[in-house]
Amino acid sequence: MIPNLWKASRDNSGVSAFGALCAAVGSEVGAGSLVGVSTALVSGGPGAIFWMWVTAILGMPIMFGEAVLGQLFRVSNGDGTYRGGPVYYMSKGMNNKVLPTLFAISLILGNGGIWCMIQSNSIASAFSNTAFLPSWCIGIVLVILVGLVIFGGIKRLSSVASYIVPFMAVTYIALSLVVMMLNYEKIPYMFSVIVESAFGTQQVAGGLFGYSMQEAFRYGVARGLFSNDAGAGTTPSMHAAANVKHPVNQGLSGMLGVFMTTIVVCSSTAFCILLSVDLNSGAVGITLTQQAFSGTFGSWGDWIVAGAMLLFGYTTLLSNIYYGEINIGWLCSNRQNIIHGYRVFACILVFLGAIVPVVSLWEVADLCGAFMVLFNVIALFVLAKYVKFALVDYKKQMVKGMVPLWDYDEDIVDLYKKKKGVEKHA
Amino acid sequence: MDFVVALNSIFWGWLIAGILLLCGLFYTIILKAPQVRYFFL
Repeated sequence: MIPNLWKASRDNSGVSAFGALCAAVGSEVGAGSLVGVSTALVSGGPGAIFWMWVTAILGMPIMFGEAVLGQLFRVSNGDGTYRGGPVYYMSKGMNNKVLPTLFAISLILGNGGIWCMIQSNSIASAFSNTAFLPSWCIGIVLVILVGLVIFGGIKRLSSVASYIVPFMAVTYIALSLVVMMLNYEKIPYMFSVIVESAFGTQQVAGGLFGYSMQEAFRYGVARGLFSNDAGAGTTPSMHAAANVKHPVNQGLSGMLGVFMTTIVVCSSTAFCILLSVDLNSGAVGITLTQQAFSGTFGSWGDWIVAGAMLLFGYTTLLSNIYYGEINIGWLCSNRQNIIHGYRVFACILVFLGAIVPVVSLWEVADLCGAFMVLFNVIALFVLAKYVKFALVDYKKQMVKGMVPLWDYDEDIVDLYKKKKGVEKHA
Repeated sequence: MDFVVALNSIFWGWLIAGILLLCGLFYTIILKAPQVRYFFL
């Protein structure tokens, strides 16, 4: 599928399929891939990672559907780029204004507002602890780095993500492989513990702790689903921007994003922890992940995790602001002065997040996320017929030996009605 | 804030995970397992 990402792009204008995938993966791979995995392992045992894999397999078709719908209902910005996402597929596909308005408010408050502060705070905390830099100093640097990208729009964002995401993913996986290779003799035992603990009580670490299958399932499913954003309704905006030949091309790269995030990056973190740290040591969260790398790389381990937090957090921050922009744009008929005003406001939030405590905001951010999932899943169930329609069209063209092409100028709702009407009469 | 915490405990217990798993199964069935059939296209 990866070589097809380059072939899938329609032309060189706008955002490439690879650029959109990188930006989407950049938003998916975040603190959840470092902190969420360690939380799942400590609370649910080694079997939690098995259930994370299972949920990734189920998250892949959800992301496929979201990305295809994002492509089908997108609108042109008039400069070769496109905007889309849940608010667009809800309003056009369901002919409804209430659901997308509620979704947009939840997203702007959550991802576009509070999450910017939380991500900025996580980066500032990781660096002030490791590099002993004052938080306000990190806040100013972050505002400059964020401002340079977000004022350039989706093209600059996807172009920056195309460099950062492959670099951070390859570096993180390579360093994880070093940890695995140095502990290679424990790998067969690790896999047997993962499988046994996923299906029943497994005494881990000399029998000090026991994890039930229910705990492994609960924490694995929860962390697995939330590690890759499948169903949350955020990444469709990124996938909608890709300039591809057929919506299904982007659906396939959406599935690759989920695979990369949960199966590759989260598994790397989990393997490093399971191979080099005792889950009963009392360490939790980011400390456990840092211990996993420090065991192999010494004090450099803290720097590796802090660096990963910076890069993962930075791309997530940029994507969150873009999602906020798309939804504010939809609410205010895409008035550019309001979108620019939001970008300035987002920069202020990034600075504030770095210098003030944000612990109390986590609950509100979680609630916004819950509403987003609920509203988006309703749309996913209702609009599934369009996803299937696009997939059938893609398969028909593939069977004929053609390179699948989609006519984006035709309205999807009219096209669907027309085709279904023809089939009915035939 | 207590109200928000109470709502979160309802949503983030099994409700959201269940809804997402159901949605994943639904898409797997109607699209005939795209994660298996088309992933390596």
